[in-house]
Amino acid sequence: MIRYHIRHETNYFYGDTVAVSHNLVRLRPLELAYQRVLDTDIAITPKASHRSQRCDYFGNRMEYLGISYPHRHLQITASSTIEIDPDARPKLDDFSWESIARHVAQGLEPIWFMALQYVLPSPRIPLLAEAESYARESFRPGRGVIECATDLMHRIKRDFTFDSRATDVLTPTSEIFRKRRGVCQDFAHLQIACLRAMGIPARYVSGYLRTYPAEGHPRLEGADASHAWVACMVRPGCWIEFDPTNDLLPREDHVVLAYGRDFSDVSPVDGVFIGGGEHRLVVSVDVQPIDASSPIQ
Amino acid sequence: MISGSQEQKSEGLPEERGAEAASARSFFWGYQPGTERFDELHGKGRLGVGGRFGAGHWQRLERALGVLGRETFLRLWQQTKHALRENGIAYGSSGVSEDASRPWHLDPIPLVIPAAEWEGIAEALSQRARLLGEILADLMGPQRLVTSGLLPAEVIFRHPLFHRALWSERAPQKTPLVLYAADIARDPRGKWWVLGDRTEAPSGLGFALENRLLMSRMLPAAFHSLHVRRLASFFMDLRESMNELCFTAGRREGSGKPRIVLLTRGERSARYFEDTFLARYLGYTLAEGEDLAVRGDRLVFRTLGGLLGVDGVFRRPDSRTLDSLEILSGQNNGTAGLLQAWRLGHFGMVNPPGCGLVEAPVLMSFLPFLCQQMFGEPLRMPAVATWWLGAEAIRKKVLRKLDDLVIKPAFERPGPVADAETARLARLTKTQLLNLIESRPYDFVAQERVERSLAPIWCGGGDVLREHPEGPGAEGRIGAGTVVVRLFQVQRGAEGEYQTMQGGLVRSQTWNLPSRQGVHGDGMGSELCKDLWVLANEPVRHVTLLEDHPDRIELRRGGAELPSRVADNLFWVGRHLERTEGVSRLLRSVVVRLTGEETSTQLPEMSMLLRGMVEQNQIEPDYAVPEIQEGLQPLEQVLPRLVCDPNHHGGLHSRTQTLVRTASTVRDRISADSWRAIRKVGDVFAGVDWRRACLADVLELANETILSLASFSGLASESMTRTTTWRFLDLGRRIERASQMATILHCASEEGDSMTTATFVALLENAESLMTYRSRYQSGFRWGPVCDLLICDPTNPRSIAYQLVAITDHISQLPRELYHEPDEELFGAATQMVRLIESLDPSTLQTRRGLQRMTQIVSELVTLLPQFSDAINHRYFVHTPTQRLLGGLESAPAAGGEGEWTPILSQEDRRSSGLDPRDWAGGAI
Repeated sequence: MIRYHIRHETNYFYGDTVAVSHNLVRLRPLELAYQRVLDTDIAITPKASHRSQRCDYFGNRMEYLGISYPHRHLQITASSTIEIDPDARPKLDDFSWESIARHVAQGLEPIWFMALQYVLPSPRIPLLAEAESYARESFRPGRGVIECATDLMHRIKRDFTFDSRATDVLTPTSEIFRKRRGVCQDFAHLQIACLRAMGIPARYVSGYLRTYPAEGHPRLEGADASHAWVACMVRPGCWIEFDPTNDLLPREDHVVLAYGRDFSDVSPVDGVFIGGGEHRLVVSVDVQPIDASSPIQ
Repeated sequence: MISGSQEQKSEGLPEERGAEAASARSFFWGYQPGTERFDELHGKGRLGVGGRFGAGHWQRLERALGVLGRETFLRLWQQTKHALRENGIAYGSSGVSEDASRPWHLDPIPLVIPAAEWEGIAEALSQRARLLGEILADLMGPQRLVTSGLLPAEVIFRHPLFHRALWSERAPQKTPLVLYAADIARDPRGKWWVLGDRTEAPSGLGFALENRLLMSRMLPAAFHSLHVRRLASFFMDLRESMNELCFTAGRREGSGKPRIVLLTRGERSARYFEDTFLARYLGYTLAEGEDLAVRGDRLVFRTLGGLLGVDGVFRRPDSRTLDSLEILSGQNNGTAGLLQAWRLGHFGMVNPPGCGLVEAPVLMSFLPFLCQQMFGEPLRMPAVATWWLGAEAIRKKVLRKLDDLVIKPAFERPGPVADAETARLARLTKTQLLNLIESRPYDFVAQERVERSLAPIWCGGGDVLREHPEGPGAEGRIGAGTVVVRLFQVQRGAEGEYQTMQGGLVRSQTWNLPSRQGVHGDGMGSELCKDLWVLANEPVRHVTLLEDHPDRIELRRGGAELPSRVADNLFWVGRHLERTEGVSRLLRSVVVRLTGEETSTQLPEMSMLLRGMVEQNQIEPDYAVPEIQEGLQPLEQVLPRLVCDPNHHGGLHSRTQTLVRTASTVRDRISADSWRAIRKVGDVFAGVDWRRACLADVLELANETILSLASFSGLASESMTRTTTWRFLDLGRRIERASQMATILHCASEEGDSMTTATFVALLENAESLMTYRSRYQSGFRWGPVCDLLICDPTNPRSIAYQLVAITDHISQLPRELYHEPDEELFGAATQMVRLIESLDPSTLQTRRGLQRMTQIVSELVTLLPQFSDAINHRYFVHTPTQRLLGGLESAPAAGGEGEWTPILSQEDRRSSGLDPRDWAGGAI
């Protein structure tokens, strides 16, 4: 059991006055079997003219923040305290990948119906022939789905290079395959494309990593920003997470923010604003373990 | 066959006289529907199977038309077509072709259906509307149909119109489907089938209405004697429904009438005609995406007077283009935050977003089953049999009889795109088609064909004429056309029944013409449309929306609700008008001198005129420099080409085009006559070959342009109410005229002491003030009196003083209570303007120094006016670009806007016309 305090700060500095801005944020962590949200709050400067919360289609908590008066700087700060219980994560019982793929494709029982959307192409992850040919090697007949996905993850770590300059937030997945470089978002899209190509439901997870690793552990990539990884359905309704950027199965260092088919479903901060000229974006993320007995801030 | 035609006088057309006696007297003589299809006129199906309702209703129509006879009918029809054309001019989409405003040509013979039959149809389709509504409510919310397996998950998850952003846990609006339309057709046995559903933003209401207005005017006697049911009550229901929605939405208390806007895709949309027509009929304000904005939690309408809350939106654009914040459509012309405000229930929307989902043919294949499951009853009117090929078991069976079926894209909504795709599929070989289906079966449906029924259509003297194989000789002939009826329903209240329009839009294709045997659907070709007459047995009550009860009308004046976008465009219409006129006058002066007896270069006034021409971007600057002029191609040869070439930016031809284009954006704000006058300006250059034009042509064209502009100006000054609308038009015109005058005076003053009588004459002539001058001063021409008349005299409508006084008056009358930004800029410019007016003192003109001072003021004006125009621009038409941020990770390039202000007339248009204020400041006046 471990407790974290998370602070996610997004700053927009505009070169010119912004008359109006509309923002849609997904910054409150999900409540899960292994993740309890003890406290969560979003602060915005300048003060929002209107804000309202709702759940999106995937069950993520989203909030609309609108500012209807001139401003030159926008700061959105999300603070949460959460508790992770790694032992409550689903068991790693494995079933053959073919049986999962077959059940989803045939969709004979209601439990599989909703999983279908995680196999079909999504806005950022189209059907890619190269994904199938790349994945094939890990999906040998009769192999367990967790085993396959883990192997796939190892190979991605081996074959692709972490490079924050190679891509941007809009780089298509097909290009990642060509460049063999990217960041967490790209690797997540990559692995999802491969899993879906084999008929395995896979979804995109956005979240955070603890900023400074526990003693004796290496510092992970993506620790000071939003992070992204993958979850794959291994039994009806049971999702196992994989972090292809760091080549590991998340246990207690990962905090889940939101789920979706790909990045476009879970984008933490989306905005439209009028005016502003050139603008600069500064994001900082801090995930600190706190003493479980200490009072919640 | 048809009885009851015996009373008709024997004044039929010559071709009829020789025909069989019985047929000769029938109005519908010559109609040959064959026996393959159901024949509406005789109520008979294939092999003579009779329809349930016989043919009595057609006999009633036939008697009524028989009284007129074909000759009178033809004359009335020609008048009607004229009215139709006029409407097209008033509302037409491009200003260039009236045809573009109507996807379907009107056929003057209505389709008649007895009330009893219509009621049955209406009832059957109410069930369908309810079913579709419930399906939508489920799919946009709990999705039990999917989780319970009644609807394959694939159908919804592959559906491109299922936008998760439109999904909500709790429906924001209790009525999932308010307005519904269905296309129905009759098979050879006389049974009606549903061909398709329209739920997103059903179109055709405006056309049904226009057709009805035209037909009831063309055939008033028949219309009344046949007891044709009225459409108006449907529109009243629609309005009531809309009002109820506004009131259930969190509408502010006690603020009277709800403010409802008809959201249109704008002037470039093919449906713009309908939208303007409907907006006027329903009394809604026409709004484009950029007229709306979200402030706080409210949807507001941007006007010059400030932001006004919106209570209801009658929506025409697709759901996916509504909100640029929540749905990335690539078009991004929506209103950011609109969905958010709607979800909060602050305004009602018809139809609610996401309704298009059930239009796709894939849903049709599940409706019979879903109706049984959800309502425990079969569909009352069957739909044309449709199979989704994504279901394997069905696919195998269906593919065996592929030859009898039409293959269509499963997820494409009915419309031109779907039609084109269906046509493409139809052209594939069987093997190609099977391979395609095998590779992605879920993308296709197979559908049975319905051999639609036939009804009489009027051939000749109408639009069919051109394409009819028998040519013009077929004048007044009756032919047969296939029939598809679009029927409209509106739900009254959350639990309310669907009310059916007592009429509809009939679409028809001429039958037996090989080229026309195309695909079913909504083709935008030159299909015909007809009015639908539902015949009652008893007289019908008169209702109309056009005359409201007098005690319900609020008296209103002024125009604070003028959208900023419209004000902006009006301002530019004013500027373009004046600028076009200025150029024409200058051209005239130049051409008269070029064609005169003396060598033009010897004329002393030429240098001023040429400098003016250069300032107006008419000719190369080199022409104004006498030393270089020699080496250039003679102006006599160059000028006609520059004037007439439509692609020469700034040339008179291109200016008239810009004017017409700008004016077309505010067509719903100017009268039909004014629009006609503007179109005349656009027609001046029609048929002129710019490569062959000569100086004489230029003179003629300049004269014509000036005359047509004068007729618009006359209409504007005599018929426009002095509201904000007019003020912006006039403001643009005054600013432009003042700067034109300042520029030419500036050019003249550069001559210094070398100014001669000829220069003064040219100057005065160009300012239409020569007569005035001559009547005031018999002694001759002097710079002082000329300056007085053209600068200081506030009674001369061409003088600078006159313009400045008008401008300051307009500014003082424009709305001031704006929601943001101080107006120091505008205020400062206006103060300067007043100071200038005061300095235009004629007494200073007596001295040489005073004259110099005056010319200095004029030069000042040349820079001040553009600044002033800028100030107005900033104050009233703020258009800052909107940008989009994605993900809070990195910023993505701006992809359009919230629709806060996207100029209808693109920046490109302005720059190319040399009218961009920024270019102006560079001295290009």
